[in-house]
Parts: sequence; C-alpha cells; structure tokens
Amino acid sequence: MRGILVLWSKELKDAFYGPFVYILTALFSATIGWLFFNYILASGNQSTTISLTNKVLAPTFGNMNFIFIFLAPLITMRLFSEEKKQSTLDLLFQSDLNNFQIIVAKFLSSLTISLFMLSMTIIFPIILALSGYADWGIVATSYAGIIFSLMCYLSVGLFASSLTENQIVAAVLGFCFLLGLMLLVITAQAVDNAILTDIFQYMSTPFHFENFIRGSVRSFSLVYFVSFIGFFFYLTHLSLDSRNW
Amino acid sequence: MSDIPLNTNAIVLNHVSKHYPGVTALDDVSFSVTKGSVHAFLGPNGAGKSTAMKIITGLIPASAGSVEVSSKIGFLPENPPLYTNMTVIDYLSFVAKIQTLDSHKKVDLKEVIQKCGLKGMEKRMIGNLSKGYKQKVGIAQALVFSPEIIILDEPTVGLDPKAIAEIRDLILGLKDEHTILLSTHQLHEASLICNDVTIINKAKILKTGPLEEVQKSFQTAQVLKAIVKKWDDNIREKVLSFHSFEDIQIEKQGDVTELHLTSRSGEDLRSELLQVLVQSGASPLELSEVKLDLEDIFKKVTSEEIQS
Repeated sequence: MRGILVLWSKELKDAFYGPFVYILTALFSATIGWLFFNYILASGNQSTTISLTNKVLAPTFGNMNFIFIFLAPLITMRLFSEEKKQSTLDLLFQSDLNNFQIIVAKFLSSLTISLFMLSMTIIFPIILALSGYADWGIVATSYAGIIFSLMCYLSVGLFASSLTENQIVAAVLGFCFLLGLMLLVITAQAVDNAILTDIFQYMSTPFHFENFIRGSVRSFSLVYFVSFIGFFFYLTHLSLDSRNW
Repeated sequence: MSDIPLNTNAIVLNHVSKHYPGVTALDDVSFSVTKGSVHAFLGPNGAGKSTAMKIITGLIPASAGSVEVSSKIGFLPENPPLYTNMTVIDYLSFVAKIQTLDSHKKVDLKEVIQKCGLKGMEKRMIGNLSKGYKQKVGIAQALVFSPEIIILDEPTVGLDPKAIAEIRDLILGLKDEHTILLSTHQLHEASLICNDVTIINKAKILKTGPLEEVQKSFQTAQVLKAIVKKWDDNIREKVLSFHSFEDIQIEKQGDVTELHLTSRSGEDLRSELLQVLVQSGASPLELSEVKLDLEDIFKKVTSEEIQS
C-alpha cells in the first residue's frame, strides 16, 4: 500500500505542478457549463423535479460522459509513454514496486485528476436545488455512473499508454478503443438478433451508464464495470511484462 | 567450462545467452565480479555490454544461463532514468522511498548529495542541469539506498574532460564501500580505477580476470624500451646476435637514442640485454619493460576478432 501511495503522490505532484491539468479542467468546465446553461434555458419555466431530471440532469451527464471519452485518453496518455521515453520505467521496474502497484498507483492518480475535473460540476446540483430540485438519489447515481464510466475509460487509456512511448499515439489509441465501445451501442441497435443485441449492449459502457442516469443501479452493471477495469489492468500488466518475453 | 560459484563474488554469470529474433546479443557469457572490486566491462558499441548489465539487474531475462547476485543492485543505465520536471532532492527522495519499501532501510540523502557533489543543487530542476550534473544525479539515484553492488553503464559518455575527471573521482570515492561494475569507452580512465576487467566483443567474452593478468596474457612478446647514448650498425649487430628481435624501432632524441625492441618470446631479457648494451659500448641510460595498456589490449582484441 505504501508503494502505491508513494507513486500516486509523485504522479499527482507531476500533474498538478504543470499547466496541462488546469487547461483540461478549464476546457471541460467551460464546455459542460455552457451545455448545462443551455439545458437550463431550454427547460423553460417548468421546474419540476422530473422535468429537470429529464431535460437538464440526464443530458448534462450524458454529455459529460461523451466529453470524457475525449478527455480520459488525454489524462492517461503520459502515464507510461512518458516513462518509456525518459527511460524511467526501468527505475520503477528495478525498485521494490511490483507491476500491480505501478498500475494501481497510476490509475488512481489519473482518477484523482478526473475527480478534480468532475468536482467543478458540483455547482450544477446546487443550482438545481435553488430551482426546487429534490431528487438527490438520481444525482448520486448519476455521479456514481460517471465515475464508474470514467474508471473504465482511464483503464483503457492506461493500457494504450503502456503500448507506446509516443503520447499522441497513446491518446489516439485510447480514443479509438473508447470510440469502438461507443459504437457497440449503435451496432446493438442495428443487429436483428436479440441475443447479439443483448451481448453488444452489455459490452458497451454507455448502456450501463444510462441505467445509472435513470437512477437504477443494476448488479450486472457493477459486475461489468469491475470486470472491464480488471480486464484492462490485466492487459496493461501483460504489456508491461512483455519486456520479459 | 564449469559453473562459477557465488562465494566471494558479488555477481556471477554462468553461460548466459540472450537471443532476439535474428540477433544474438549475448552468446554463452560467463564471468564473475569479486566482492569489493571495481570491475571494468569493456567492448565496442553493440558488443552486448548494456544487455548483460540489464540482465544482471533483472530488467530483462536471459534466454539461457543463470545470473547470481549477492545483494540488491544500484544501477545507472546508459540513459540516466531522470524525471526532468522534479527537483534533485524530490527525485532522490522518491527513488529512496521506492527502493526501500521492503527493507525499510534508513536513507541519508544529505550524505549521498555530498558524496556525489550535488550540494547546492538540491532545489534545482533536473531538466535545467548540465549533462555532467545530470550524470551525477543518475549516480546518486543508484547510490541512494546504499546498495552493496553498483552497476554503471558508460557513466562518462558525452561528458567534457573536467566532468569525466569528477565522475572518476566520484567512482574512486565509492571504491571502498561498494562493488562496482562499470562499462566505459574511456580505457585510460578504466585502467586507473579498475582491478579487474572483462572484454566482450560480438556477444562473446574475449577475456576476463584481474587487469594485470589480462595484460600479461596479451603480452605474448616482451617489449623493451632502452635509451642509449650511442647507437650504430655494429651495436645493432651485437644486439641482434644476442636475440633476433622481431622489431627494433629507433628514434633519435637529441644526444640520445630511444629504442623499442620487441622480442620473439615472453621471456624476460632485461638483464642480458643490459649486459650486451654495456659490453657493446652503447652506454645505456635507461632500460624498462613496456606493458600493454588497456587501450592496446582493446585494439588488439577487437582487431584479432575482425581478422578472424
């Protein structure tokens, strides 16, 4: 645990001492804030809890999820590729840290950065509360859904970063993986076979996220998120271990 | 060849090979590094030095053979693993923490900074340091958790003569407390600080052992240097009738003549040659044996390989 904490805090210092996190956060806040403002305007004068959930909260979180598909690979792109480029990955391999600790520490640091970005949106529920919004359960599950989705995206980005020493390539690879996952929803709708539709839907992250936005936390969604993250951790481990092949 | 036991050795490689698709990086390599010694690992670029060092440190596995080390290793790779956006003190503190997670060893950062000549540089960003200082930070990270064994892969490459001398002094300062294996192209530097030497070329070990023994083994013929007051054909004939030297190089230096005589055998001819020079009236002023330095051995070994 101490090893994870040491690497996690070093990664966070690296990130927060540089301008990149703040630029991403500003970009994210501006985009999602602008969208939220427009959804509020579009909701008109009806300010019932149900209408605010459907017309403001759900589309805001839906867009947040979409934006993170672009941002997550940017957050994770340097995690391993930078280490490879600077030859510092060997320093970690030669230390008392094992692959699992390295992967978890880097994942947690990227998650912390993402949560910092996400914390900028806390103002949205507060604004909604001022309009008389009261369904805090939906807000909680929406945040839980976005955090679980984010964890999936970050685990994919982490894996992509372990494949190359070029940060841009890592970001593009991560984005391609995530776009593929998004497209599974469309494929699921297009396929004329109930079983295949179910399989594609289950494999697609947005499908599970949508359940959370509706306030329904399904156990199979939790199983999906945990196994998804575990699977990409394993792939990252294999990628790091490939030096021994 | 039988396996080398670890016993008094800090590092032992037994029949280590490393194959990449289409390339053999190491071919049945065996050598040992004695505890407390400074061992030079010499060879041209691409000979397999860095591969061997990475295998010893456990960064890459060997395709065959075994590696034994007596304790944890501090390693400075060819490209020092530096986080350029960190300050020297933060970096060393981070390395100390991740290297002592299991041992919980106490680390004295001040001592390492002092030892490596980094005093006054603690708060500087690594990316802003000169190459010489970056190299010192690289050595400091290898030392920071006080490992018994230190491996330095070309620690002086690309440095100016002043920085090379500083790194040499730094390594000399480490000599008493650590076992050091270092690869270098600075053969003169290596001969000044090393006790043992291993020469590798084209993935194979050509020679390994104490520096003097390696020097002797390449010294198949004795080379004598004599400075005489007088030198003419008559004296030359008398010298040649005593021993048919393979080569005699003559250089006139003012009033005296310097001779380089290469014998046809390894036997010591000094006292007899001195007598011959005295009796023939050459009036010798100086007579000494010329030993091959590391550079000569390196050139000899690599050129023999190319010829074969």
